[in-house]
Amino acid sequence: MEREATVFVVDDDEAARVMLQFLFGSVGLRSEGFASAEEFLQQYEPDQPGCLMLDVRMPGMSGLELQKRLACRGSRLPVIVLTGHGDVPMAVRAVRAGAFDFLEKPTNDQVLLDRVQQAIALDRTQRLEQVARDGIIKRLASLTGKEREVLDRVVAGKANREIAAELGVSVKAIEARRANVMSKMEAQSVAGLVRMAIIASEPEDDTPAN
Amino acid sequence: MSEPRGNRSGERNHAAPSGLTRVPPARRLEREGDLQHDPAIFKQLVMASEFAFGWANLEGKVVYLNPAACALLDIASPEDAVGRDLGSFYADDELQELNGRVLPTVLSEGKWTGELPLRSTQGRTIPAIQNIFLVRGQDEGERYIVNVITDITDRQQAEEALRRSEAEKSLILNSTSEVIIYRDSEYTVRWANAAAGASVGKRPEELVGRKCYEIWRERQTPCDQCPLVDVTEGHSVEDELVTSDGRTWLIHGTPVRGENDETLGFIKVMTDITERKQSEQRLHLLSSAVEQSNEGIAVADLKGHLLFVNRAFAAMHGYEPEEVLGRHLSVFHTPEQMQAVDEAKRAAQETGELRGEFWHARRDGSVFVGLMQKSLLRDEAGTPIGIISTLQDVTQQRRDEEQSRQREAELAQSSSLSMMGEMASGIVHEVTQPLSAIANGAHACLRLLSDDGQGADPKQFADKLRLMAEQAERAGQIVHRLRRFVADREPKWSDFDVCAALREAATLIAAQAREDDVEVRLELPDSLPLVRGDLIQIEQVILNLARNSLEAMGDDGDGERRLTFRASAREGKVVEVAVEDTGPGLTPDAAQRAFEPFFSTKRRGMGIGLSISRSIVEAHHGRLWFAPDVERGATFRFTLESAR
Repeated sequence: MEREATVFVVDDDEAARVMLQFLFGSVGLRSEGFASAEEFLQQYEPDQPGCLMLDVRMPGMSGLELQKRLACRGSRLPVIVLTGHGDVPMAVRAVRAGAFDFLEKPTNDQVLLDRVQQAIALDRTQRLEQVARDGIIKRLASLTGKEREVLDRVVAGKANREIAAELGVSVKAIEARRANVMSKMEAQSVAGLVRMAIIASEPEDDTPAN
Repeated sequence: MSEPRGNRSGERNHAAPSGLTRVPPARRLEREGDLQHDPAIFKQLVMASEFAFGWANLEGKVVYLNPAACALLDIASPEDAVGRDLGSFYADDELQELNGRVLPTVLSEGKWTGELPLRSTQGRTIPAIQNIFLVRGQDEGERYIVNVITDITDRQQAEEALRRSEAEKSLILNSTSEVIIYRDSEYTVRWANAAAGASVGKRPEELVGRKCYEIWRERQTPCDQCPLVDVTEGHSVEDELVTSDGRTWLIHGTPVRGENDETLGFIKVMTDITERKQSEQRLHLLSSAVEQSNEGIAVADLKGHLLFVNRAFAAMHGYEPEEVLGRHLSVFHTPEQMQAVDEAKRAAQETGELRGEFWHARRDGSVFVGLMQKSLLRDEAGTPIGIISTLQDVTQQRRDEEQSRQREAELAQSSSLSMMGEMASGIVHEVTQPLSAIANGAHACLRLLSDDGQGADPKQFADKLRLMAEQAERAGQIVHRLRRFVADREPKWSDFDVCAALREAATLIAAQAREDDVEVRLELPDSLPLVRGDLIQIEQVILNLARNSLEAMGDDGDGERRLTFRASAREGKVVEVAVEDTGPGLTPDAAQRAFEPFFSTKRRGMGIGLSISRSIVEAHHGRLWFAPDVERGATFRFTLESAR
């Protein structure tokens, strides 16, 4: 059962925070408010889906620092940064650090809500992909060493005869192993197998290093 | 010679003059040959002779002295002389000489001639040459000492005079510092005075016989441009010569001519003018410097009449130097301007020194500001003899200063605008927060209402609307505060609590401090005397200091980040405010130059914030300074006078 997405609002200004949550509530979005980055980090569990709405100016831990900490914990929670006035260098830094978007206050409510929905959708996609990848990796781990040899060569586009010659076994034996790979990997086609191999080879954390 | 025989000689003497013509020559000569021994003639000869002589016997007693000798020795008549002792005519030393040497010589050799002074009966010393010899009387037996005396008093006096005048001349010639030589036409020195010898470190005699060019120029041949060549041609000449030791001489040559106007040689007088030359050069240099100086220089007598003006002084006033000589200094001022000068003069009478800026008038009536310095010119005894004035036209300088003052004012204006701009960016955030909250709240309400009030709890609406109203008020207050800064305002003096200004500044800086992650701390006493001044200006000073601190801490990521405002009462009715930060502090160079206009360590700073802040504080009779003695960060302090 998929958990309900939550908008995590981090802003030291209580009025701003309350009103943002009021706005999210008015469209039926679940939200949680935090007065500081530290408070949020204490309570947040990475498996909680949604997005993070962050005021760029905060005492204590800065928005940028918070983004970094989240990444370290393996969270890919999308971050929307809010600022009081257009500060280009700040925006660049935030986006480089992996922010989903950067919005200037006061924000048009529709734009704000749209971006929040998109961020939540992204989070959901990322989480689904994560689940899929976790499955692929689990299935890959179930292959024997010989099956893995065959998989690598199939993915590289080699014909059974070629693989048999390379590995010094009969074509028949290769065909048998190949059938095992397809069934263990739950692949319908070679193309599907290739896609799974690509997904599995992607680095788990795609947050660019800053 | 024997005793005179008056009669015989008298007769012959009588006959002779008349007989000279009448007696036939041969006969006469024969007769006259006989007369060679005529005692009468001898007697007359002895009596009339102007030569002094006499004779004495070998006992030294006078036998006879002729009248001339008697006169010489102050004896009344020959009779009085008879029997006197020869020794009585000599002083002791001469007597000794006479008895010891002269008489023995006469006795042994028959005669003696020499200079031996006599002494008259009156005690006079008579310089004399004496010719003493022995004679025999008639019977060939008796011997007498004859003495022929030549009085040389006159000659000796003449000689003495001559010697004295020679000595005098050489004394004169040797006393003078001028080198004087006499040389012949072949350049050979014939005579040199002491100075001539001294000029080359020798005795004068050593120069004689040497060539002049050898002596002074160390040459083997005559000098190419011998100044005495013209002299050779017969004129006196004067020239300058530098000798091999580097000294400069003034040479005066005069020809010496013989009776037939032939040139015998030259007198060369050389004066060492090395020092005079040097001082002339110094004077020349000095006078060129004065003449060419861009600064006006004038010398006037004590009444103010111009004795000298250099070109610059005259030109500043539109004159040629010669046009103003003799005129009064007041020619350079209008009567009104002169009044100011006179007043200043009276004020400076005691010291005699006057320095100040005065208006001057040019010839064409235009005016300029001159920086004038007057001082008394004194003679060697220290008595004032005139006034030296130096003058600089500072009109342009004053104009430039005025321009730079205006420029500074403009910059101050633009700086305060830029201060406001920077502050505004902080305030924008402050205003945006509530506005954004209001907007979000209003949109939420609208969405809830558009859903026909579905899920809209009236209480929830009321809470949110109250919060929104509060936020609107908050925004209003911020805007109000901003307006106080933006308004083009006249300084408004009042008595205020500096703590209030610090709190206000802390509020204004809060947004930026939060962004920069800096903690703002207020450490204020419970009560503090009110200070007098312009609250807004003082707030600007505090904000400026605070902003500097925030920017200083901006790049310093580690450690504490804190901005502290302090205020305390100090002695002498003064309140001191301190703005401290925990930034990197100031380098010694930056600390020294911090208050210089246009000095900045910031990349984008104009460098006039501190300079303006200091001006503001000083306009409040306070002081603003950098306190270097803190462990960490930078601390700026300023004082304000407390109100009565």
